[in-house]
Amino acid sequence: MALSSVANYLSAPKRIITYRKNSGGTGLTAGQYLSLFDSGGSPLNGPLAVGNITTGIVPVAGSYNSLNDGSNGYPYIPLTINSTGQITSIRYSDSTQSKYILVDTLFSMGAFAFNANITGIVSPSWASRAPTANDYNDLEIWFEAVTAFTGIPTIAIDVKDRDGAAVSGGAGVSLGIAPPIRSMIQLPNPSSKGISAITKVTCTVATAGTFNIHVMRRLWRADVKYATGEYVDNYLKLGLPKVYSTSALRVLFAPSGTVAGVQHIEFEVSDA
Amino acid sequence: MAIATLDQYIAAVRQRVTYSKTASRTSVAAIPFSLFELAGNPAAGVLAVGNTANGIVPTDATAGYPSINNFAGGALGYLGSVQFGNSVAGRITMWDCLFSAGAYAFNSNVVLTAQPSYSGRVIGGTDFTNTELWVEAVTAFTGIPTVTVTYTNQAGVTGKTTGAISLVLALTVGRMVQLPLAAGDTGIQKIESVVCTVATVGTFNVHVMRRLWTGRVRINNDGDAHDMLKTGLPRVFDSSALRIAVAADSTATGIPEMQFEIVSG
Repeated sequence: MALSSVANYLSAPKRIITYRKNSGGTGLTAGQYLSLFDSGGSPLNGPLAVGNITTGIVPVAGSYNSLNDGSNGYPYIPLTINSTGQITSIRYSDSTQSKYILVDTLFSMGAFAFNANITGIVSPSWASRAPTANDYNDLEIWFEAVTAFTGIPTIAIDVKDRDGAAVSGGAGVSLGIAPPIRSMIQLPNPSSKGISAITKVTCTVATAGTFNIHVMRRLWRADVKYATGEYVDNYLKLGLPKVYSTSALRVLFAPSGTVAGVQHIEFEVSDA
Repeated sequence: MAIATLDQYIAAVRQRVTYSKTASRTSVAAIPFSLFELAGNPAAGVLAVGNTANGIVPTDATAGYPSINNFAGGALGYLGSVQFGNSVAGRITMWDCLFSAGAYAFNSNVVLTAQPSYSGRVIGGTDFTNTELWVEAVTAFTGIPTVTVTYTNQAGVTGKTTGAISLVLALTVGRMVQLPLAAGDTGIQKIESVVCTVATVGTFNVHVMRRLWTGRVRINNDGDAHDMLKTGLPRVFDSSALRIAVAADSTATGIPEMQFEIVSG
């Protein structure tokens, strides 16, 4: 069920997901998105390397006990009435000026080596996490550095579009930098018609380093304009993005300076 | 149908369209530049339109424009919210690109024929007001082009003209310049002819566009979220060709990232 009125929103049970990372970091690059996935906090740190370079996986939400049971790195989605909900408010603060992107991680694969040449990938379907059938339009491909790189990698990704047609990423794209560990870099989509599968991943030029590839559905972006300030985005700003009880929520983080602070984000999900 | 109440907005079918470019373009401060053929999401388009004789009506299926899912039968679409940011300070603007023709050479004198109609992408199918006429540089110019576009105005009056407009400087790739319409005109139904003189090198497109949204990134790596009260719920069609330009404060268009919420009901 989706929300259908103000009254419906007001009466819907609200579930709160806390996302707090406190590991900090120094020597960062201003404006460069970073993964917080293996950083301590809530949810607990997950393993940066995905652990699958043959087919990839469709990550899912952590369990109810994910704060203390050896989490997979993703927060528990406390939807108990329906298997889907809508994010209706986000409260966030940071000890440093920064920006965030919230995504549902639909597909992950890695860690690939700097000289990976993996072809013929048959990735599992993420259709159950598309908001409407075959809605792959708003998906993005992201690179995540699992270990630091030597040399500037060129990454080429082949995909299938929303209609299942094969689309080549050609010779790929140079990332422009030797990515430090945890760097998150969005890759250009080979297709204008969405992404329903990854079929090839290659990396050239670099001489050291490992990385993951993720397909992500963007749910929210925001800026912490002043350090230590607190902000609240309501449902009108958020546009009521849909989440699933299985959604693998990640926050990508970019500092405005060279030091990461402590991120505290609370997502209100209406369970209706 | 239409979205006329807050409840209808909440209950509307919604889809999210992302727009991110992973490459930057050299630009000029405070001047809008096209991002159309830059890599990213959506994938790069081809800057040259590829049709100078008739022009085309680009859609969301045209390479370089983001895909939009079809609306349910009878439903109308709106731009519900925009979340946006950029690695550089500047202004981001979005249009629905209704008509494109080009790439015209620096010495073109072309009378268009059999132009496709874009009435299906204006409000009510008849409201051509608030459409804008733009030039987009496809290759760099030598010399300062003077462009004259003859058009049919919003009321269907043929033979209207922009007059000979000097574009003031030699355009670089991707630079966009809005052309004035004749006094009293508020829109364009059809492009009739395109003439370029004075310049000695360079090619360009001509676009008719309907402005949907604009937002400012105040400082580098900044952004904002505009809800429906800020976007004003402008009408979007499920075939709309959403086109973005960045007018940066400095000399690069940066790495913009945006997410549009399109609601239909």
